[in-house]
Amino acid sequence: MELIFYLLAILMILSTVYLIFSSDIFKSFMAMFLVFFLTAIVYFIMGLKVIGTFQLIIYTGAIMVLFVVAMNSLAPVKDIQKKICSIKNFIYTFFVLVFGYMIYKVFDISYIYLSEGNKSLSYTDSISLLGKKMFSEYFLQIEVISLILFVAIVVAYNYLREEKNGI
Amino acid sequence: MEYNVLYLSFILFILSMLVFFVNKNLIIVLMSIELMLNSVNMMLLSLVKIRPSALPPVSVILIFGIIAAEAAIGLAIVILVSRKLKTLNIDEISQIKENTNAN
Repeated sequence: MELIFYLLAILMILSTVYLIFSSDIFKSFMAMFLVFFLTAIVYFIMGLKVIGTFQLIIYTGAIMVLFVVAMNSLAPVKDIQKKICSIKNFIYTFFVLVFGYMIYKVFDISYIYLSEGNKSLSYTDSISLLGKKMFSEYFLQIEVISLILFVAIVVAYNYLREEKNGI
Repeated sequence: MEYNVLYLSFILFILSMLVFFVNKNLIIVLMSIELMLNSVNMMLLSLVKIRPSALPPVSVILIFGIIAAEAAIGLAIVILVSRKLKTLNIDEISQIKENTNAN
């Protein structure tokens, strides 16, 4: 495990160093994607199953899709769109695999929870315990973050709508 | 291994900061901010293993929300700039802004 961790760490550092000197947006995107994916693997190696799954869903899934959509919408860089189309099948395959793995992890965690009970699980192993903690002690923080997210979506929509209408 | 993850998060944060200051492409600068927040998450989670508590995982999930909000607004601004100014280079954008102010 230590050896795998060191290999992943070297890959993550090299990917981030590549970003310093890179001017190609598509290659930078792939380097960032690699860092996020390897971070999720590091979380799984550390035994943080729930957070690793969140990392895969939110970072490697949602935010990467957001970046792909944004890169498709960029006006001056036409060759990026061609590259994204050529690699579209790879991206679809990858997300299907990630989705399959997430379902497997959910069943795996549920099995551990049912077979061993609550005693051996911590907040980083059980999504149920973490959820109960978040919506009891940290309820106000969760509400504030959800409000910030809602405002961000409205602001982003408003920016692009105004630009489209030429205001 | 927990301390190694802590050191790794520190190295990644410094490198991401370098990307932020050195690279001139607007979308890569946005990517560097994402990487910085990712390394902060990694640092918080390495602390869970050193001293078990519910606060770091909850903080990480809250930071995920902040990251999503930041990415949505940041990418909207990048798309807007690329469509209006036809460039993503920070120096060129500053030049255009100076020229506009001079006129």
